Amino acid sequence: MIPNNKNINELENELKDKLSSYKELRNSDNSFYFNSLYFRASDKLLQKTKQNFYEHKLINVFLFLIVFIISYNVFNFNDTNNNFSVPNNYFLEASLPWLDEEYFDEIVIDEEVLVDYNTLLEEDPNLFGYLETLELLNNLPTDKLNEIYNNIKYKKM
Amino acid sequence: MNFVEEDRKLVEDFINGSEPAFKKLVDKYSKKIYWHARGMLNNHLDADEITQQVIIVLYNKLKTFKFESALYTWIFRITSTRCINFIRKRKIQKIFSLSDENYNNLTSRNDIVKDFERKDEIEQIEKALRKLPVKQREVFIMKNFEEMSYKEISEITGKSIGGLKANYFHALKKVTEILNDSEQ
Repeated sequence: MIPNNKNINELENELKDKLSSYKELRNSDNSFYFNSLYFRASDKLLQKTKQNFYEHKLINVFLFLIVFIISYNVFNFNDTNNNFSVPNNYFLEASLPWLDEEYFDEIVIDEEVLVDYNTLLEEDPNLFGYLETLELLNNLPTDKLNEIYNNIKYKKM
Repeated sequence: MNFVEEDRKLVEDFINGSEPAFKKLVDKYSKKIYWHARGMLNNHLDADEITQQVIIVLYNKLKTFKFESALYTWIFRITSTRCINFIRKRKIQKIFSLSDENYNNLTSRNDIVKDFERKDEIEQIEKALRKLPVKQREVFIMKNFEEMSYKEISEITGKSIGGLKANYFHALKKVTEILNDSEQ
């Protein structure tokens, strides 16, 4: 229910005298107090600005230190040839294995593998025997291979 | 120059770096801010704190004010929000027993009321205001003491004029009853 203006006016009139002291106080001159309010607020503002200034400075110093530590670990500043080099240290080890594997594959593929058969034979005289057996097995037809496998499995050989 | 144009000029001067323009704005509105906060919180110390907070907010945010509404509407909106948040915080503190029960009776050496002749009457009125629900108290202060229209109060609080009228009527009735009882 929205009250009508008449009811409101009646109540306002009834209260008018009772609220006069409060209105008088509100209109009284308290310029000294309100001036002090302005200066106290200004003081707080100044303190906040100072605090923010120092906080920003501190954050900047921390950021600089973090960036410096990271860059020091990533870049090798002792490299006199001005080449970028990745040092082998704890910081990068975790991310490097896959790089190492790729690097290793490239070496193996590109490199010509030279086997010294004379030394190998001296160390293992049966080497050619093994190689011959291996070649023989590779050339066997499937049914023969299965037969040999079954013989081994059931311990006939 | 009317007061809206005067405010615009002061704000523009402040944005262009004039500190005295800001001082003039504070001189113009600090009293209104304080009394609104005092009416809402019924306590000098809290009203003093809220007024300082609003002055700081004005200093920091005045640059973003677009004059889509009158400056005083904007200032009252900030003050009103701060006061309501303050009351909520105090209620939470009370629930967790973090504040003293007699917190509202705290007085200060520089309380404006201290040397006022009709001090007892002021205390009775503040007691009556304290008994009103926040929404009713807000509209009562704005309508009765700030002498704002329902339209202006609606712009500040975001409430409908019908709702405001109903709240004001209930507030008037309660304050009259309380003050009549205290006289007997």
